[in-house]
Amino acid sequence: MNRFVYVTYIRTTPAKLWAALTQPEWTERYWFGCRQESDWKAGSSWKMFMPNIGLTDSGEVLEADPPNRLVLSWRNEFMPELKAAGYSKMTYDIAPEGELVKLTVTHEIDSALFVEKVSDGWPKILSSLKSLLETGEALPRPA
Amino acid sequence: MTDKPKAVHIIHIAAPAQKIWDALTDSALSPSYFFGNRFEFGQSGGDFRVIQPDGQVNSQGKVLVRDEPRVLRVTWDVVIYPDMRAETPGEVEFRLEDLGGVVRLTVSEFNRPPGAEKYQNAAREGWSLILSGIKSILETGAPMPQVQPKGPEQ
Repeated sequence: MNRFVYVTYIRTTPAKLWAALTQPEWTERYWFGCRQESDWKAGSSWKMFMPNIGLTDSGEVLEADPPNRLVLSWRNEFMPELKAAGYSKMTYDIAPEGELVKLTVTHEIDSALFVEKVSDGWPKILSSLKSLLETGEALPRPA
Repeated sequence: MTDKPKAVHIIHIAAPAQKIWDALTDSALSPSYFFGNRFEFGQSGGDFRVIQPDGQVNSQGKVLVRDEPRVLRVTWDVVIYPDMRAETPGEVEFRLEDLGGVVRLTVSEFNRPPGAEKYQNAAREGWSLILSGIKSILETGAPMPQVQPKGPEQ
């Protein structure tokens, strides 16, 4: 099993962070145009769409405990070599720490290639999320 | 320099590389994002130290590379916890890369094999707090509220 873990601290509330992670009007602002569709209930499906690509990722909601924890099965749908790796497991853990919220993202799967790709992607996305929640402005899309 | 880091910590910051470099190397600013500790970086070949709020030396080493504002690499010995020496990095590198409107700051821990999971988790939390704090202070102009890292669970 290969695993990527990222921790970041954001000046916000768990409820706002949960909304920012799950609501498309938020994600499209900091996640470089990405929109997700789901009712975020355990057993429901979820899908992710990017402008100019369409469906990029999909899976199932494995656990949902708003605003504390969300666990998804997650398969890439648009890069054949990643889609072939099958379903990964992605977890958001959200915990208040004083005036901050600690967000831990854990993404795990057997495929080393898949983990290498998400290891590049998550820091960009989560840095942009922190900027948006703290300053009102997301980061520009990296070249 | 070709060795593979045992851990990397990455954050993207909307600030010029020089500002981030200054925040790292300004001994007066570092306590605001480093739990009250102070970074002291000498010139290349000079000394590196981490000074605690109580004045004690937490960590020390040598500055291996000082290539402003791109690479800062030091040997790093945590002297205040001698029993943690085998679990902590022998070298740490700060690398700044301009991606166009945003700079990627990468902290890499080198040399020693990955320690027990509790040390890896403690290191990840500590570096995450430091990098989150540097980002907040540069992007918002105000320090992030202080959270003390818990350290390795015993």
